[in-house]
Amino acid sequence: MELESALRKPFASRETFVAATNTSYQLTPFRFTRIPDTGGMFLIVNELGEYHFLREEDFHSFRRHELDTTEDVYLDLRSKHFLLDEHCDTYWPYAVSQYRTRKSFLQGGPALHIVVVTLRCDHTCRYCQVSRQLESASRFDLSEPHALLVIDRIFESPSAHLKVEFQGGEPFLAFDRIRFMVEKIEERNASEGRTIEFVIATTLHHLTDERLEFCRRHRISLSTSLDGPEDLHNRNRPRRGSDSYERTIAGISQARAALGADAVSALVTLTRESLKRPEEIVDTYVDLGFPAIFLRPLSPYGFAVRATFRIGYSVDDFLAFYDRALDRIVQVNQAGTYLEETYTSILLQHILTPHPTGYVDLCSPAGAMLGALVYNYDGGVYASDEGRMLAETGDRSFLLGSVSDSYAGLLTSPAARDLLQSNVAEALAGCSDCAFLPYCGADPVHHRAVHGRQEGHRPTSDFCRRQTALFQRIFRRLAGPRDPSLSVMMSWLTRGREAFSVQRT
Amino acid sequence: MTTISCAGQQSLSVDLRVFALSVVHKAAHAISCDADVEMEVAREHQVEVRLSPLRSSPSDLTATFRRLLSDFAVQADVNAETRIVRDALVTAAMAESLRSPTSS
Repeated sequence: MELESALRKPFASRETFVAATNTSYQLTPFRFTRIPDTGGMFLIVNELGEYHFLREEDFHSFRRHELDTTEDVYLDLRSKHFLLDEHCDTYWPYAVSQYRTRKSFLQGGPALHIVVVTLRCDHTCRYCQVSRQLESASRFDLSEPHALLVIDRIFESPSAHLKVEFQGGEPFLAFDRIRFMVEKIEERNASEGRTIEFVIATTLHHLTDERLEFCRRHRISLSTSLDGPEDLHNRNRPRRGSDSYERTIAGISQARAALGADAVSALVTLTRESLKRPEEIVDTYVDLGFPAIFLRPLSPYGFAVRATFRIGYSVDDFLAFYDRALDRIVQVNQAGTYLEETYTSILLQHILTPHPTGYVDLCSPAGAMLGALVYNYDGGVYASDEGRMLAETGDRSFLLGSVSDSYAGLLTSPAARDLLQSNVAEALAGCSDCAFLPYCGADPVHHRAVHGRQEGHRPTSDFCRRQTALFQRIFRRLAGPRDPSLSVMMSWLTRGREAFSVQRT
Repeated sequence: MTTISCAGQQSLSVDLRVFALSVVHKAAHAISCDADVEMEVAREHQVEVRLSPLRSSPSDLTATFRRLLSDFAVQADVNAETRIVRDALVTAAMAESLRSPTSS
């Protein structure tokens, strides 16, 4: 009878061919990618930003619930919250806390308030994104009534910490307005009780003892532009007399003497010419005693777009430069001099800690407007500095309103609503399934400038290509045997740091 | 899935009983940096995908497309399986934030 029955069923049942599923664990949300040059390793990243490398067969066993619960890989994945079983009682409080921390930049509202006190400037920089005006054209200064309204808007922001950054043009050409605003803000803060930080983004060419004394009394720090060795800096930042470098170096010394060594920071802007000279640029920063260098590519905004054909470059060219410069920075550190590459540091902080850096380009939702507001000299309020630069060429997509509008009005304006629809990377095609999403951002302003729409097109986005390549470089280091350069980079995280809010000068 | 090549253009048929249409769309979007993509419903459960390389020396676009299909299909399965956990996590995190006073 049994034989007869078996003969009537020439094929085994479906269950015979399906591996037994281990229903004792549940997956938690994760995304995955392959990291090049790691022997086919899969990188998986969960919603909390924790990551793990898996061999391909382990990856598929894991996702099919076929892992043996006694295997090391199972225990590793459980300890990193990629799966839930009966031993995961603490998952929910932990996971909620981690996720909330990653998004905590949303809690306080805009903390960075950039005030463009003047468009006047004595430089004619090749990559300048704004329409600079003559030194004497004071009609391009922020008026006193507008300055008072800016202060009202700043204090309407609910953030307990406020960073007020004065920009230009060259802000020291409108120093009286800076003085006026700093004094008014401090006066008002006596009753507000916020923590306030002031920064002036300046060439350092217009310092006087009196101005520095004011900066010292009000704990104002200075941020300047330094593009590398003298000839390169002067070529990028021409002015009458061709002495921009010399005057900047003199300003650095003068400011450090008055305010202390840490009160002056510098930013480098990279042109096509710069890409040939990574080691020299790094060495300039070392020679001048800066503890950090920020290797940022040119911004495709405003008037800088016109110069792209002369000074622009491809993502591949930038990455080749970046690799050489980073090697040099690691060498410098290994030789005993501390020098941090700020962008790598930001990426590592996003990967290895749940704490947001506040770097607006790498936030989701994007930091434009939610993390920063920009008050232009003419009373216009923009979602970001880049949005203001874009407006210089006629695209006012990021103009939220005027300083006479309320904070609530600005953040619910039509431009704000448009921005909110395109600034969540989790909801963007090309980002939503990307393994690097927990560490990256939407950057709608960049994509508006380059692709003409805030959502952008990730497969052809240079922002996306650059970010992906940089994340792959870091994860390749993390995947391999202990890489000495990684120890150097980790040291950048452990050294006390402040929130990143790097802006252009 | 079948593959045909002709004069630089490469094409393949995708069985929609194996890969969801949303997965085919994601693969088409992802490969659009390397190829012009045309999609056409050939017959029931079958979509024809034509890939025209954007550069002079095309890579194996169909191989890339097949890999993308597999990866997006796996990701779609994971997303479907873990959606409840993700929604609960995001809701709980954001709801607690709304309750707590601003602190950052």
